[in-house]
Amino acid sequence: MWMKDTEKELVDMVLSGRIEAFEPLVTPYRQPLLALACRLTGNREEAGEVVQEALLRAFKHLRRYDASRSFRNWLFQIAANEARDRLRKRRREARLLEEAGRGLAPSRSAEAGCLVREIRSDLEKCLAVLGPREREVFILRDIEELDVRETARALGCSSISVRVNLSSARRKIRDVIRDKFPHLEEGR
Amino acid sequence: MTCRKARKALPLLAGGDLAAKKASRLEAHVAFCPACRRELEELRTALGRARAAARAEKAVDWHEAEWKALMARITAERPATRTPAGGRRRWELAAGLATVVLAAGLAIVFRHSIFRPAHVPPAVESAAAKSVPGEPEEISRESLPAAPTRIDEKKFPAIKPEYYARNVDRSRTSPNQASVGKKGSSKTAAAEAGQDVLSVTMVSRETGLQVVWFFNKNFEWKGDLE
Repeated sequence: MWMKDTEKELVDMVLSGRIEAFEPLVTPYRQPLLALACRLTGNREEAGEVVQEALLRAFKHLRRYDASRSFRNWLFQIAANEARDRLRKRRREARLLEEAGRGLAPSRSAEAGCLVREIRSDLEKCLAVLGPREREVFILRDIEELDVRETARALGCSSISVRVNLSSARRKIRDVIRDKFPHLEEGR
Repeated sequence: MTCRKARKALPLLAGGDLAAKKASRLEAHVAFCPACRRELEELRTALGRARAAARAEKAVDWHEAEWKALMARITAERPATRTPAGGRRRWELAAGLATVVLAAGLAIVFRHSIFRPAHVPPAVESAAAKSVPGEPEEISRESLPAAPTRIDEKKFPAIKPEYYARNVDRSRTSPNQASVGKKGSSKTAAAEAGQDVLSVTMVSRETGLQVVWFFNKNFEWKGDLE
């Protein structure tokens, strides 16, 4: 997907020092970015922080943006990386907490610990059955509808890895919808 | 195509992520295999429902004040200005610096391996001998460092290992000799003259051919021997 002309002009303006052009450049993506971050992190507050950091990075490194790519996908890539870093950090902290509190509280896996979050929708409950990489791949490819190549680029992995994770993610989603959320399958 | 192989690819077919050729092969299998067809339909339905659920979700959005504050915070940071060829200039500087460091490293390495203290050519040897006529050796032969073995003395009698050793050792003891007086000073001068000559020797492993270049301290070429 090629960059829109108006976006290109806005990028050029920001790069030439007119920083006020940054807001109109990213405003069309404020909601999609937040929705993506919410799905990746499962937490609205954390999603806000992810998007803040992603936009800050985008602003600082705008000169690295490759105009042959979709600007939206570039922003998604930054946000996905930021979300992944935060999830890793959270998992590590959860593991440390679990180790520190072992014997004092009922044991919970680090993965389960890090998934203590505000789950609001059935879709998010479905996504909770996926592994971290499957979740990223499924959200970017099937929810945000990036193609396989762009998904691979956004996640910094190969197209083969995307296909493998996508296959397993779709099977798991099919199973969980069939078993736990049949109303979704019936379209209710 | 077997069912087992087909089922591996069904999730990708359901999302339209297979190449056309492979997709048509798989669809041909699905057309006559009810079990695979049912699984494909399940996958397509589940995928469609998940997408519909995502679209139907109440869109999360920023509060206007929150968004404005975020924009203000971001644009208060260092702007992402495009300096003319700024990136390239940084790379050029880095490349220049790397070249200088590399050159310095090579100079340190090769100073000890190629530019050894000189094998003084006969012309220089005779000049040095004339400058200190009849001067007795003050340094014992045993205390001298080992002579280089690259030059065959039978072939090149004019280039004696002893001469190399004498010059090296005189330069080493020159501060003491300088305090002795005029004679000492003249010997030191001769030794220093010898030290100003550098040689580069190349020896062929196959033919034994040796080529020696001599340079003075200004790296002016003096001559060669074969």
